[in-house]
Amino acid sequence: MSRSSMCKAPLLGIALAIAGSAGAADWGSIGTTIAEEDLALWDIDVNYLGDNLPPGGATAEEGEPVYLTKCAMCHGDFGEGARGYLPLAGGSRDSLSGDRPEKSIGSYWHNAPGIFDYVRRAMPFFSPQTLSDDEVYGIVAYMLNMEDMVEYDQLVDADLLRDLKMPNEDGFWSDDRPDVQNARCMQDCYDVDPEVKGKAVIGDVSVGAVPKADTD
Amino acid sequence: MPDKVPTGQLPAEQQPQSGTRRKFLRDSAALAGTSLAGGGLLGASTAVAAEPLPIPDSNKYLGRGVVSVPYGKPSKFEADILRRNVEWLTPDTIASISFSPIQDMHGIITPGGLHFERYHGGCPDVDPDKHLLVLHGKVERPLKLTRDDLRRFPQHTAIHFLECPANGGMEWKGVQMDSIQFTHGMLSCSEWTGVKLSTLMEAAGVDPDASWMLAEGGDASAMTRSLPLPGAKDQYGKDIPDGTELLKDAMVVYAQNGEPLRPEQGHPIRLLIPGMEANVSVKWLRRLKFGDKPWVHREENSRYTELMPDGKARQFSFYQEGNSVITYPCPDKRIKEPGFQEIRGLAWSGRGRITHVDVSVDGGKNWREAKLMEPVLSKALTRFTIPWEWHGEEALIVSRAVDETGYVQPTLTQLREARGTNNIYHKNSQQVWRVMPDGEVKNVQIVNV
Repeated sequence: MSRSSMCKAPLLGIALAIAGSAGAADWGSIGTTIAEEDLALWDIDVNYLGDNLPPGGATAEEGEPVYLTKCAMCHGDFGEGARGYLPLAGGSRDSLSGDRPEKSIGSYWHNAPGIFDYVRRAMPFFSPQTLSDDEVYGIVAYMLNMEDMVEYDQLVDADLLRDLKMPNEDGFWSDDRPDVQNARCMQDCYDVDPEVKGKAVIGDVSVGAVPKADTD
Repeated sequence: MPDKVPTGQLPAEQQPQSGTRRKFLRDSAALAGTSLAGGGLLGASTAVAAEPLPIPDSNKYLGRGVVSVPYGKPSKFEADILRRNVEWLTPDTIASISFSPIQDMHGIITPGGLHFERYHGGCPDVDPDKHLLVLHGKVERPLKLTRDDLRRFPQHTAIHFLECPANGGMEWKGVQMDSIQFTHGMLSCSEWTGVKLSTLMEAAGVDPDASWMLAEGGDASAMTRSLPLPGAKDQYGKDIPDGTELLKDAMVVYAQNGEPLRPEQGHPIRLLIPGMEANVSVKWLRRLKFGDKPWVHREENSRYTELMPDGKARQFSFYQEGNSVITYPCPDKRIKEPGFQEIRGLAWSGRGRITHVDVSVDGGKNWREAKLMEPVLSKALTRFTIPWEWHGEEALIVSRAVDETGYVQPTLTQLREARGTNNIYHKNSQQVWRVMPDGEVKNVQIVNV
C-alpha cells in the first residue's frame, strides 16, 4: 500500500461509517475473491466416487521401485508393516469380527479413490506432496497388487479406481447413537458382588504411576 | 506438596465458615448412608508448639522485578504439571498424541501450554501473515482470507472442550493405565475466539444445496474431514442430521484463552466444532470446500470409525457423548490423610449442558448427587464436588454424568455389550477407581454390572 493510499484510508472509513448504518451485515468487502484455476495445487481432494482424480496412471511394476524407496521402510516391502507401523496389506475380512482385527486396504477401506487421495496429500511421511501423480498411481497400483486386487502389469488410472469394487465398501453405517440406554438409578442398583479387575488383562502393558519430571 | 493436609487440620478452602457450617454439615449428613459423610472437621485439635512460627524467607528478601520473565511461566515448584505421552502407543512422536495433566487442573480452562496435542504430521510453525484460508467449491464467491481478514468479521467467543475420540481407548479390552492423565487426558477446554462458520459461509455465498464441507489442514498430513451441513446424506443415501446443530456454533478461531492460538492447537487458525470429536476441528486450517457428498477419506474410514463385534463399523460418529471422571482421589492423586475428603471431578457432553453428576463410593450400587460448580456451560468441562469422610476403608469410587438430553453415562459393561472391545473410539463409560486402605488409588474395571 502506498503512502498516499494509506493517508486516504481513514477518510474512506469515515465516509463509509456515515453512509452505512451501524449493524448492517455486509461482508462483501472482506477478503479477496479467487478463481478456481488459481487453486490447481490446492484443490487435491478426491472423493469416494473418484471425482477430481487427475489424468495419468501407472502399473504396480512401475510403482514398485518408488514404493520400495519411499514407503517400504515403514510399511514393509510387501505392506506387512515395519518399525511399529501397522500393516497396510494382507488383512483378512474375517478378522474384523475376531479378537485381533486386521484393518488393511483390502479388508477395511471403503473406497479406492481415497487411497490415491491419502497418498498424494500425506505421503511419503517425511516429504508429503512431492510425488508426481503418476508416482502416486504407481504406489496405489503396487498396494492394490499386494492385496490381489489388480495384476502386476495392469494400468491403474482414474477409470480403474472409480470402478474398483472394494470388498468392505458396504462395511460401514452412519452414527445411530445413543446405542446404550442407562437408567439413573440412585439406590440398591444391583445386588451381586461387583467383579473387579485391576490388572491389564491383555498382556503386561501397565505403565504404572506417572513418571515424575525433573525439577530444578 | 500443595495438597498436603497437616494432621487434624484442613486447608483454608475446606474450612467451613460459621455461616455455611450448618449447610455443610447437612450436605455431608445426606451422604452418610453410603459412607460419604462429613464430621472429621469437628475433631481438629489445637496444640501449642515449642517455637512460634518462623518468619518465612520470602518475607525477608526482594523478589524479581517486572518483566524479568516477559511471558510468565508457572512456579518452578509446579514443574511436574506437564503434558505426557505414552511411548509405546505410537511408533514416533510426529503422528502421535500427548495427554493433559487433568489431575492437576482446578478449573474448567486448560492453560494453553497444557492442552493435549494430537498431530498427524507434526506441529508446523506457520507465519500468520502468509497463511491463507480458501473457501471454494459450491460457492458464489470463492474467497481467499488472511488472518487479518478473519479478524475483521464479527467476533464470536465461547468456552468449549476438545476431546480426542480415542480418549480412554486403551481401556476397551482391560485396565492398562494406572493414571488418570493417560485414561482421560486427551481432553482439554479453552475459551475460543474467532468468527462463526455461518458468517464465513454467508460471505462466500455458499450454495444453499451444498450439504457437505471438506475441512483441510495446512500441515504435513493435510488432514481432512468431511462435515455435514443441513441436508447431508451419507454415501449410502442415509440422512446425516448433525449439520443443523453444527452450524449453530461452529467457528474458525484465531485465539485461545485470549491470546493467539498456540502452534500445538493450529496457529494461526483452526476450525472449532463444539461437541464433536476433536479431529474434525482441523488445525492450521487452509481450505473449506463445499460440495454435496461426503468425501469418505482415510480419516473417515480407515481411522475414526468404530469397529463392532459383527465386523461392521460405525462411521461419522461425530459427537462426544456424556462423560465424567473423578479427578480427586485418583491414581495420580492418592489420599494422604484420612478424614474429610472432597471428591472432585470433571463432567462434559458434546450434546449440551451437564445437568447432574452422581457419585458412588460402593461401585455404583448407591449414588448421591454431586454439586456442580459454576459456570455450567454447553459443551464445556463442568466441575463437580461432593464431600466424603474416609477412614481407611477400601472403596470403589465412580461418577456418572447426565446431560441435558437426558443421556445417562453408561457402565463399561453396557458399552461392551453394545460395542464389543475392538472399537478404539468413544469409550465414555463410567470410570471406577479403587481406594486402598493406605490411600493409594488404582484403576479398576467392574465387569459384571
